[in-house]
Amino acid sequence: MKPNRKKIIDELLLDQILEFILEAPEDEFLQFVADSGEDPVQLGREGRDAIAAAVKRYGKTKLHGARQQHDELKERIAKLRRDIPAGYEDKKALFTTLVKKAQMSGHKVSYQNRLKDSASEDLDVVIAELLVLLKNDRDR
Amino acid sequence: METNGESQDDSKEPVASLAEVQDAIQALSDPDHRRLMKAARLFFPFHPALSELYEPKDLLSKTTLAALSGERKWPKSRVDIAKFLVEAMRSIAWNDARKLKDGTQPRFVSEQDLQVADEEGGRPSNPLEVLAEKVPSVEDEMLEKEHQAIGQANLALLRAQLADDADVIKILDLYLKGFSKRDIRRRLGMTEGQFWSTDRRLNRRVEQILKSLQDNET
Repeated sequence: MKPNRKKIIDELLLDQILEFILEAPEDEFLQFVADSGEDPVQLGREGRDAIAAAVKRYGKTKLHGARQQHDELKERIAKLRRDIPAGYEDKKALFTTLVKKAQMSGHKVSYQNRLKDSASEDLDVVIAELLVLLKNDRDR
Repeated sequence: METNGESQDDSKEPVASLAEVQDAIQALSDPDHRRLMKAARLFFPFHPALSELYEPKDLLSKTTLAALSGERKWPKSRVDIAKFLVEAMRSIAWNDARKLKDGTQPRFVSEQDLQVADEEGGRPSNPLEVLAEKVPSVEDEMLEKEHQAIGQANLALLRAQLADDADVIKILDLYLKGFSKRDIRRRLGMTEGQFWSTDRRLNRRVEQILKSLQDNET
């Protein structure tokens, strides 16, 4: 192997120590720590705490992200619900329109017969589902 | 977005998924924690200005977070998680030190420090004028040469300090020639135990020199 002439001495020395830290047998590493006047127990505790702090922070960030996503989804559903008419006949008309739109977009929609004489609340649910489906198509 | 399967970074090298990174980090043992923390401390003598920003444990924490979030990608087929974190710490430390040097990294400055005296040591000048002064590239080159000269001086100092330990000098020389630890051990015909013990002595001296350099700078 040829020496890396561009690499300055400090960097080579750093490589050298890092390699030792990562690869030396445990007893030699512990002796190295002791020679440096450091407490291996404290060193381990500090390292564990630093990593635990990062894991905790990452968990919080993920949780915050998931909450934000959930809130956005709730808001989106609420907005879609607001677009659903109150009257039963109007709902059925909207449902029919949405089914046609979905079919024209290439979706296989199969709950027309099941919902022929369905309750108003059931219609709300499928209308919302269809609105989401069509909105996702538009967003794509 | 989180991925559960294997993914690839821009260089097409397979990298671990976020779930794999998380599992690997949580599986780190106490000896791993010790080694990572020792490495984190080691970067500070190389970049003394980093002490203005954070402590070694913060560097390890910051790096771990960067790995967990996918900001730093782990090429799992090439290096294990500990080596990856050490290399990422090295890179982050280097970047932060460079930003401090360029003035693009926010640093804590007291009002007193902002009172810059003029050449005669008289009334303080406007700190913004001082900040606006750009270092010319010629000066940059000179600084680079000076840095290299310091590196050579450090090496000379190290050699002088190691003069009484022939085996240590042999390892250092072969290392500087670019040989791996394994090759060095074979060339010198040492047992594993002999090699690591000698290498430990070498690294202790290197660490001492680095520490004394940091003490001189601060």
